[in-house]
Amino acid sequence: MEGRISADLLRGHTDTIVLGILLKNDAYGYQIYKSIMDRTDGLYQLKEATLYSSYKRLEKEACIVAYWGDESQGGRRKYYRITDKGRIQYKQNIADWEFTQRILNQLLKEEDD
Amino acid sequence: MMIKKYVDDLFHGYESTAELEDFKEEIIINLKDRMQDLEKTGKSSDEAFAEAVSELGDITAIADDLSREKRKEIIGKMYVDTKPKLSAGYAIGYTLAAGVLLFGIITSLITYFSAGNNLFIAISSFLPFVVPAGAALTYLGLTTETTAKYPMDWKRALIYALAVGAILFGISISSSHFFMENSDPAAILGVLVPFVLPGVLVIAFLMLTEKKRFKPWLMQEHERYHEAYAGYYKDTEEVTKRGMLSGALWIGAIGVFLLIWILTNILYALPVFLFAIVGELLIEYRMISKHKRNSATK
Repeated sequence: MEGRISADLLRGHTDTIVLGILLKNDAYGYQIYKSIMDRTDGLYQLKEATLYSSYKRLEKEACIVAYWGDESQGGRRKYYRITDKGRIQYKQNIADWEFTQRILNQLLKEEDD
Repeated sequence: MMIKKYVDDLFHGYESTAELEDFKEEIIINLKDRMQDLEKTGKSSDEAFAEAVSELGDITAIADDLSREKRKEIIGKMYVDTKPKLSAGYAIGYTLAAGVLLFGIITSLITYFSAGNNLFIAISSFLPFVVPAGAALTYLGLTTETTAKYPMDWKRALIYALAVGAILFGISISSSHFFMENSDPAAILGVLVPFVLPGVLVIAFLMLTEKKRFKPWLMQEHERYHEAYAGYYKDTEEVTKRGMLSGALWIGAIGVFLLIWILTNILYALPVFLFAIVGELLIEYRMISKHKRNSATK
């Protein structure tokens, strides 16, 4: 049986996904959006609006900072950079997720054995 | 630029703040990049635009946070005090006109059956009712203020009403002639033409010179609609032109239909509508191909 994605579940992890993408290098909105699409092979389409609210939230929590790039072509882009606080937050989120996943697996698969 | 306009419209009604302008710029450049990528995969610019915009999703929640003032009660403007009340005079007028019309229908039905199923007499007795009732309803309808429209100038509405009266008069007189024994087709046309033709011409003239009576909020809505969905028909002017073309087509078709019907037989007259439908399709096709050409040269 093929699985379907739980949009709600995924949306709850948008911040972590964004932080994860920014770990390697700074990126602007469309790059982040595209890399999410590429990673999921287009199986799940996150609305860009969800990402925008995530950026705003992360900015407010000082997990990321925004700055305008100096493109000469086609208009400047707004880049996001992860902060040290953001890195700590990311690690914490991943640890939380792994813990949650373990517990959920134990609870959900109980019937099997 | 389609995107800039679209985003501007999206935030229409938000108070401009530095943060909001910042956010708009960000959305615009991201949408542009997205559109470019989609166009690279072979999509037309319209398709790419539609897809990019649909992927954007609902950004109003973010905008609400950014803009100190929320959407300036556009919705409030739409619903508050826009429902005009019908005055007592108009209510009486409508009721009377409808009553006269109803009375006319009943009377003509009674005459129809009592006069031995004679349509000539039935229609003749309907005539004195339908003409004033039709004219009165036209006048009242045009001068009534509605949620969407302001009332028409009473003089103009009166001309409309008289023209409608003349048309109704011509139609009922000539159709009663039609059912008269030994009716002469020339006589039928003879009564139809002098009433219906000027009536139709007057109405056509009035319609073509019509000023818009939409209320401001509706105009704003239309404008925004046209700007945001500028994809299909390029502008209002084209839509109006298209409407006039098919209006003329159908009026003409009905005229020819009536003519053939009276002169020969309804069976010969019906195919006229087939031609009209084909004509309508041709107009639509022309509009679409013109639009394609326009967007190709854009």
